[in-house]
Amino acid sequence: MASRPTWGFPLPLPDRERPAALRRAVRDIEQRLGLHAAGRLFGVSAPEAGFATGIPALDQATGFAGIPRGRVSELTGPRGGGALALGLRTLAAALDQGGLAAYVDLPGTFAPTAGAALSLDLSRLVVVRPPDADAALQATATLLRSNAFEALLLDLEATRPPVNRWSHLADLAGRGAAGLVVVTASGGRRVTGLPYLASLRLGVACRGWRWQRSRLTQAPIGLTLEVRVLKSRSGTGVQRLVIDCPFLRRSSGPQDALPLDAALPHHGGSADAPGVVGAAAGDLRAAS
Amino acid sequence: MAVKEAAQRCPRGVFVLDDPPRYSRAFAAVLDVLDRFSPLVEDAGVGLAFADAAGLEPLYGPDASLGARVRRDVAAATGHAAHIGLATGRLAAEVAARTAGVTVVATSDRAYLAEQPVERLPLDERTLATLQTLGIDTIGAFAALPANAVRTRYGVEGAQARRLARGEELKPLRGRRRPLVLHEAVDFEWEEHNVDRLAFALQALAQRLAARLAQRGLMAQQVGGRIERADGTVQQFALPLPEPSAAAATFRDAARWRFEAWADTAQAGAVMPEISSHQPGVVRMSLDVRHLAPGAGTQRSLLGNRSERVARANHAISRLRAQLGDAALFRMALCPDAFTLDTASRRLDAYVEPGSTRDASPPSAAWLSGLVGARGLTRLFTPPHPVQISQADDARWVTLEGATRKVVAIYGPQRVQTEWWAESVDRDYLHVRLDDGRGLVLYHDRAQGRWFAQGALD
Repeated sequence: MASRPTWGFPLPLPDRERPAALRRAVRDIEQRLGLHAAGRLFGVSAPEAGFATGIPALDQATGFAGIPRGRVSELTGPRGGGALALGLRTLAAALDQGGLAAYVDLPGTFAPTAGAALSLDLSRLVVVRPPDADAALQATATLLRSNAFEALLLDLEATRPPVNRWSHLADLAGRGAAGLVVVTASGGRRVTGLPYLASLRLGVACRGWRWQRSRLTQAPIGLTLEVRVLKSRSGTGVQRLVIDCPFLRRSSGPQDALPLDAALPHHGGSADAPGVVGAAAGDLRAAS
Repeated sequence: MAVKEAAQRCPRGVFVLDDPPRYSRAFAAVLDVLDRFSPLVEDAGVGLAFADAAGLEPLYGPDASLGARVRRDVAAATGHAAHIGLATGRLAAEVAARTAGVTVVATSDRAYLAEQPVERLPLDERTLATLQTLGIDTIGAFAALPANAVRTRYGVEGAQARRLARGEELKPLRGRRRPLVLHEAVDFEWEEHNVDRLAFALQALAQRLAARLAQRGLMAQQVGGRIERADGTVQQFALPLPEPSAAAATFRDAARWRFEAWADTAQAGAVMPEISSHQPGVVRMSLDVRHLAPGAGTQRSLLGNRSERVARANHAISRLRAQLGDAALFRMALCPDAFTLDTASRRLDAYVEPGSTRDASPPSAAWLSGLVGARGLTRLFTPPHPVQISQADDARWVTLEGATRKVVAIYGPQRVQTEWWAESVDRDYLHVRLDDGRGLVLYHDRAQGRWFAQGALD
């Protein structure tokens, strides 16, 4: 009787040998790539939809319909480049759906007026001011572990925290439904570890201010941002967008706190201000 | 006298604002010392207290010895020298305490008071003036007046003063009401360094406290802890709980978080953080619960999932406050009556259930749009950073934190001026865009003639 060939495609293992083989494979992966490289998703069947930033083109470009929940996202760019403005907008969008949010404010510069202008409900935002980067990551881990927040914004600015903490944070984010958004300033040393573990990385740079011009004067009403999707685990490719990011935002959720549109100056283009191109959020000016 | 006049007369004078709560807190330490000696202490207002010294002689010796010990302990606790008077009645003791040091009234109160000036009696100034006009200048002379005549001439107040002058006590001491504090402690026979082993001891303390609370049907709103190290140093904390609790785990966790924060920070995050070996170990640990209130059930299931999430959020907040300190966590609100960005934000305690109510009426859109400098500002510098403005090559340059950048766009100025009699603000605000793409909100303080960066657009 001819024996079965053992070369070519491997034969399927008998059922009784499969668990041991799986354990060997997992151990092999862990030895090669680290302890967290392989594991089960406890109770998480599929990633929840992200929360929309209110800028449809950006939401579409990320591939997560916005900023993903249960994952780490990084907004990076030069100082003053608009990454924080985009992060605050994200936080406000998350709070539109109810619940609570937290802002881990390592530089200690949170401006509540900016939150109010973006219709961010300050009564549901907890601000944490840790003394150093290590405490900031520890605080973020505690907040993620509570699974009580819709979104967390970790503002690191130019601080470079220890590399070995990001894996733990990504693990904690994956066990809950909160979206963790990390704002970093580019230049100098890179935030090691974060680019690898982040599911979404957006490079943000300010391309100019948008002005509201009248006969007598002009006033800044927003930023024109260039956003590059540097990385997205949703599978979308690298993209570059130029978007308008107005200073004011109208809440789209049921928890609208500020009827900002009532008494504020008009921001849209008018006969008096032909130089201002559509002020509505999400105005896609150019794409490549 | 008006402060302005006082300042003119005494240019080098130091003026301190009246702060009654601070005085009360300081005097509470004196009352605490008296509590250690006597079971009955009456708080007669800031600066004056009475303690019942009956039956204390076997413990502390004669009256002079007791007074000296109280005086020494008050000095150790507060740094101030107390005046002590010991007598049978309240008035004689108070009069004796007007003399520095310890004064023991060896005779009867009536005999002691008889020689004292009549101004020591609790009478109004008009009555005292009348008495002096009549030649009655000692308490003894006042006590010798006929009772009916005093009552007819000076009313009930005069009659009561006469009884006091005769050494009669009108009312018994009223002990001050002290809030119930449950306290448990453990002494180690060795120096303990391991936080996990301390946690086991904490668990026992917390369970004992929880059992005592359950016996009384109470819940605690604050937990406090204290550790003493081998070198005598003491660390203590008081942590408000997010909601009233009688659960041992709540007390244990709150104390453990703070103890972990006290442990060597280099090992924070380790599986078993230890107090560094170069720090002295713990020899005594205590736990107490305060602000006790009758317990009430919380059926969160009736309130839905949201209440559970808020409870989890509060738990996390409580933990972070223990680890990072009380000032590290807060919420913010806007003050719609503020004129400047400096004063527009207000810190709120994070323990108020987030989102349950709006903490203050949200700012009106008109106020927000009219708040000068707020447009687009996402980073608020507190305090504002000083900047240098210079002009060269037909351009303006801004120097901030040692770096000089060229200004490529300016919006403003917008002036903010407030009333000169209040906290005076006189500023010109500018939005400037620098050649590296950064946006800053600057203001020129017209009173100081200096430039500051209020914040940045980021």
